[in-house]
Amino acid sequence: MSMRTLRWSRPAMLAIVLAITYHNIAHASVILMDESRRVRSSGSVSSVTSLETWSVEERSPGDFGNFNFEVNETRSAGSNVSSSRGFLQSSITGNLFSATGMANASAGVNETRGNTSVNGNGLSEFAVTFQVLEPTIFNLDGFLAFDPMFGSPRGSATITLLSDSFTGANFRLSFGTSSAFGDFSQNVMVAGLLEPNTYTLRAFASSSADAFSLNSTQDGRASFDVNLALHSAAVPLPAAAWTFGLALTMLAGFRVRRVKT
Amino acid sequence: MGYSGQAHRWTTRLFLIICLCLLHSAVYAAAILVTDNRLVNSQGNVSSQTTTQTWTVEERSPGNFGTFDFMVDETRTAGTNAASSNASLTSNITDSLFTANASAGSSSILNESGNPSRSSSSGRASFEATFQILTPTTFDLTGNLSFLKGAGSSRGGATLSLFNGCCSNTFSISLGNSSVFNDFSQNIQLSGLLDPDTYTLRAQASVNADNFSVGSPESGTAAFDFNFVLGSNGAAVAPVPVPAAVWLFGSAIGLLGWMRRRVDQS
Repeated sequence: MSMRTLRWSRPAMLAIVLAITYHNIAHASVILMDESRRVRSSGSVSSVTSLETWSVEERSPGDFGNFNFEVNETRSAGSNVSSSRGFLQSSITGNLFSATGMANASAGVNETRGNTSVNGNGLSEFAVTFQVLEPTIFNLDGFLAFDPMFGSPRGSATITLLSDSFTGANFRLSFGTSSAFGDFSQNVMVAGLLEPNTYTLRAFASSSADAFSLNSTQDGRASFDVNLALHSAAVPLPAAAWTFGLALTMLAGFRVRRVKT
Repeated sequence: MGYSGQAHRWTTRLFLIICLCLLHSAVYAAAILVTDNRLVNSQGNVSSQTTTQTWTVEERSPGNFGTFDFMVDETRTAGTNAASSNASLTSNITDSLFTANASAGSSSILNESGNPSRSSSSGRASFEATFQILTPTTFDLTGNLSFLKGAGSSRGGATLSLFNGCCSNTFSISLGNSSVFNDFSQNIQLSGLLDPDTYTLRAQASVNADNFSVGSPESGTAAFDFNFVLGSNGAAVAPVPVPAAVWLFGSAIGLLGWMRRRVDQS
């Protein structure tokens, strides 16, 4: 091996080793397994002479990454009107999952006869299933809210992080409510350690507005905002790792100088 | 005047002390302890062709928080059949720190057959504390849950949960498994923020050993161990306090007191 090759191969090898070490200590071993993201608008509206129902749903293709979608539909029958909206802006990468979802629904009855029913249902859902291969630190923060603007609509806004097992240890974090009639908002801030297992992070918002009586309006808005960051539990050893790396670099430097001389 | 010099100094000092107390209450907000329900329980029954013995022995905390350290350990025999169960709990509840270490075990053996021969036992240790949080407060929860199946097909488990009692803003952490037939061990390391509300921290370890078949003993041990700290270093600290305002206010008061003292001295 020539002197020139020797001079360059050692630092190069050292750089590779350091890069691999850094990668191992800085990044969590997480395998993305499954995802389910969708937005939906559905409802029905009827008048004395007409009836309309609809359901429009957009789903993610299941390839992780970004999924940003909105469905927003309004239907009318006579002077009755109903609308619903589902909105989701989300991203799934190897160690960071984030999503903002909104679900709105409104219904207004301006004419009635017989079984007139006007309703709208908005939905936004974010779910990702992942496998953790080594103890992993997580940081989960988010915000949940439901705002009944008019009337008495129903809604839900939840965030869950679950690992269920019939035979072993369960891990269940659950926030928000699946059936809200009144105003609510909730901050979520939890951090901790995930043991090796399969976990599902799910955030869900829905809003339903049903109007039956003449001149009544229902309007509700639910939303979620969630961020889950995963880091290897080995991260708290940076001082040791960097000192080790520095010592190796210095040793290599001395060696190169000695080879030069 | 004799009053204005010394008395004024003392008034200023008293005022400063009151300010410090107010500062302390602004920064440190301890939880209000609401209820305490801790117990250890041993129960079972063992019977042979001619004898039946059943028992329930339970020790409960008096509900006044603080420490509760208890153990129950019972064994009964009927002929050559035997059953035993035990539970122990070492725990402490203060307004900013809950700790508990518990185990529960049970075993049973059936040496005689024929109706109504039976040997069954269960041990249970339970910790429950309800507390109220008045300001947003950080928490740190660390611990371990485990179930170790000994002989036969005993079942048991250990769980830990933290949840609020409110209607819409559900906060729920649920860990462990209450009923499994295999070994498990789960480490707990969680921290976060509790919004003002009433919360319950509950942990339970239980084991059941039911024996119907002759010659196959059953046994198991479940355990939980946790530390729950409200706020940093055992003091419930509002995570977003009012440091700027409070410290500015405190320093201004201190400066005023010092200036006043200088004026008095001169």
